[in-house]
Amino acid sequence: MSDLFLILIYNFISIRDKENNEIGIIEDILTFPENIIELFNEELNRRYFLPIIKNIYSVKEEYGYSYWNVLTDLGNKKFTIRRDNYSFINVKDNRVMVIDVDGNRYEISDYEKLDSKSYRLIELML
Amino acid sequence: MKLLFDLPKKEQLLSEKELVGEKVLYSVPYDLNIKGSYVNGWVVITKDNFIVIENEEFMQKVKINTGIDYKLVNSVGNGMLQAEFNGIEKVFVKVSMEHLPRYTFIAKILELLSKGEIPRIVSDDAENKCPKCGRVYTDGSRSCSKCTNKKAIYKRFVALIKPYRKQIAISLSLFGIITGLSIVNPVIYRKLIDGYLITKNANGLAIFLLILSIAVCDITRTLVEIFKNRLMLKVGTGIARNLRKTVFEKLQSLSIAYLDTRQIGDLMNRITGDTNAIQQFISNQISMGINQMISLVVIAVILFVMNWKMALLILLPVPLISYLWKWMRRRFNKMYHNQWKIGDKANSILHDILSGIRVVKLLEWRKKRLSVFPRQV
Repeated sequence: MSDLFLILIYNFISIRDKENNEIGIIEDILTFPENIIELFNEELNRRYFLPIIKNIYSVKEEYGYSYWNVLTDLGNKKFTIRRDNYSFINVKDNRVMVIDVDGNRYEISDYEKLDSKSYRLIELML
Repeated sequence: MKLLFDLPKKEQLLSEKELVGEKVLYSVPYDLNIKGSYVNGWVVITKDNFIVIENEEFMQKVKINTGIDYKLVNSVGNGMLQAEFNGIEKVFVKVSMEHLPRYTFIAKILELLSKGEIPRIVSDDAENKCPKCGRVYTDGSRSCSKCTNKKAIYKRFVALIKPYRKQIAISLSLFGIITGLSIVNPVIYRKLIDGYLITKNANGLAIFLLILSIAVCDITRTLVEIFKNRLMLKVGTGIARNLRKTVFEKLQSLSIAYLDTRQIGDLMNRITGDTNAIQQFISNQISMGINQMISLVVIAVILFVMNWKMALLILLPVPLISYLWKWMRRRFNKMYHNQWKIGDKANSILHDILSGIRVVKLLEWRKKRLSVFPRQV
């Protein structure tokens, strides 16, 4: 689970009804019992989609795009990113956000923890 | 946007089995299961039912009119197709951003079908990927760089350079002359060194004539090169001008719907930037390429005539060097691209800092900026 996600989970969650009217705000879900926290996590996992890249099989560059084949925490995925400054963003320290042509976001939580082959494939982009 | 895909073989069989005698109106892929993991899924819709197939397995069949309020709920980075059944909300599939726009239409279609209406939804949005190879189309283009018929491109290129065929033919002849003169020069040098300098043959007139020949060769080659470069530049500029005219005419004929989706900068780039790139390619790259090829062939022939064993020895490492060069070029390409990216980023940061310099001064952030700037660029 990413840091960003932890922040979302444990700080200020807005609860809304079907019509998107705000019912209230939960300041810190850690103050709730464990079974309720689990329910929160389940719901948040359902709504927030941010695959974490665990392994990079290949990065192929062609005609201004990079074609990635990766293993994420949610399974294997192939996606394409543009070769510009907005598709591969160093967020903080060793954390990187990769944004594909459709607008999907993928996270590399710590690029130094990737295996050497995966690291080599993105080394020049860092 | 495509809303009726051809189903893969197994999914097709499952669909025929579950929807006997029903006409498939829409069939679209989805990529996430309810838990959010990646899957290969399909939703197949007929007038009365829809089925969900996941990883080549039938998941569920839903009678459309038993549900109400079909909608696509947008979440962060994904969307959920859901409806209400007896007061309970049910999620059928989840989709990533790749399929989100498609499922907005699907939700509308299901809602209409649930009310007994016949949907006449047609999406004008074009797919951004090549259906054949899956590569993403270049921005603003509707053709795949890989799958496009290369012959057709060459034909168009030939048509483009046709008005300049005379000048191109002259340029090619000049290339031959330049290459010939470049090869003749070393031969004269050999004659001078082997025949007179090493043997200390003090034939003044012969030495003078040989030196004169070298000078004449060099001067002639330079003059021919100047003439050839001017000619190629003229050809390149002429072709770029015609191309600009063609692109401009094409832009005028495009629909408002298309022009509405393009940025002014993109269109400007098409007319000026891309045509300039082609001009540069014709004026510089083609000249250099032809020159190198002629040199390679002529020198190889001379080498083989002089001493075939030596020629073989010289040409032996060529495949290895070609392979290494190919590998290095890929790496250099990445490095140059990153250099460009860093330069671009540095410019953006500098632009931000300079445009907000008054704020920096006002709030005494000078020291902070000075320490951060070198790390950012």
